[in-house]
Amino acid sequence: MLPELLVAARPAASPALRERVRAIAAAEPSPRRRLPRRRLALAGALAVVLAATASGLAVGLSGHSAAPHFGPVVVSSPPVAHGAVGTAPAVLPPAPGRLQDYRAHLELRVPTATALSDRTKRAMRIARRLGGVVTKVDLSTQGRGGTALIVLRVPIGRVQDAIGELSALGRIVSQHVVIVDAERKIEALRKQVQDSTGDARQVAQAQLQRELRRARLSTLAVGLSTPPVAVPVPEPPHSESTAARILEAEGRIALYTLLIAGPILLVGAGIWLVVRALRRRSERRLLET
Amino acid sequence: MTHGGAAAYYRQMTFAAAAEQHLDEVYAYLAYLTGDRSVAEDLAAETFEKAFRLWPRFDPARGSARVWLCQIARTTALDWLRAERRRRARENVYALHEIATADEPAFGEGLPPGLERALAALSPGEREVIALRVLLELEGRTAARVLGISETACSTRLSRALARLEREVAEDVA
Repeated sequence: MLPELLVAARPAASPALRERVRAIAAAEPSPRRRLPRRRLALAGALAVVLAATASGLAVGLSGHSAAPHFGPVVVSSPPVAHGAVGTAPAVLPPAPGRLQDYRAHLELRVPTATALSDRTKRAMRIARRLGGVVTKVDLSTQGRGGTALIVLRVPIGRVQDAIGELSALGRIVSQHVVIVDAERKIEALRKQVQDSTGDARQVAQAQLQRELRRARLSTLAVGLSTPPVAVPVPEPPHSESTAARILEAEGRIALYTLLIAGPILLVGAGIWLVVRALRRRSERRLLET
Repeated sequence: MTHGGAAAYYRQMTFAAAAEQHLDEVYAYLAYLTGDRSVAEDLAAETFEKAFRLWPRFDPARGSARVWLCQIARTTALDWLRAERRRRARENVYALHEIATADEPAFGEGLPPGLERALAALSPGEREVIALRVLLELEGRTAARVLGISETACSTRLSRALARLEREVAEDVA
């Protein structure tokens, strides 16, 4: 009953008020739309999270290629020739009947420093037995490891036997063979000896003898070494772990920020709640009178 | 009209159209809240000035233009009530009482004088909830949102307000 009466008699705006409001609305602003603040805040938060994740991943992936290697210490080892690890190498034989400068380098691995000393002596014995000479021995040990370099001159006709026996002294790590034909050089020297006289002839004769000696004796360098001692080092930085570390650091920063800002936010929220309660109470009182 | 449909409708609506459509409702609400039609006219004009400035920020997805205008009108009216209370305290003049006893009807054309007096006897808060729920026919949830209270509290407030109105009318007749 009462509600119907009230609705029927609802006050209506006077023509004067209507005109005032129309005048206000006449200068209508441009229909500029704004995104709601909540959506903006949500979008901002999402953007921050995405940026943090992306930066973490980006740094992690780039760090994968640029980061220093902290893996186990591995002594650089040249590729093994012909895959002949621990077996006799495929020796390039000297060309029969031709004068050649034959040089070979074998890199062998021996198990211990004691074996290193023993194999060095055996290498020297092999050279002598095959009619060669030892031109250099450099043996160095430290603790359980060590290295040795033995340079031998072996007659060119026994070079294959020498390499075969020397390669049995340890596990072959690498080998390098250089063969240079000396025929033309020696022939030129011979001609020079024939054509020259006096001191020049003597110099040329000495050079010819040196070259002939070199062509008769091959040069074999044998490097012996013990296995490298692996040093435990930190885990290698994979891109995933780097990204995870960065994200962890960001999370830590966020946690610290929360710990510092948390009480302030709590106090602020408390103040806001109190102010809101007071305002509502004030409004209630205002509307009760 | 569905919520999405209403949002689309209000999105295309100009401020002028919204003002034209809801002026009477805002004015009626303010008239009940203040109990003074001339004050309600001033406050309505002030409300639409504020709304005009804030119109670019109006988000139809969060509520209708009517509710939005009512919220602005409420803030404007509360500011006026505060100022009025301070003025009354300062001057010890009961302006609302003077208005309520004036000859001009405050709450509508053609209301019985007894009902007019009964409405004037109500508090602004009681008249406000009647205006929102009865005159503007807002849903309980929407009215509660305008008032900043729960739906239950709004319902309770309306019941008490109507009960008191009936009581005041009965006493006036007696």
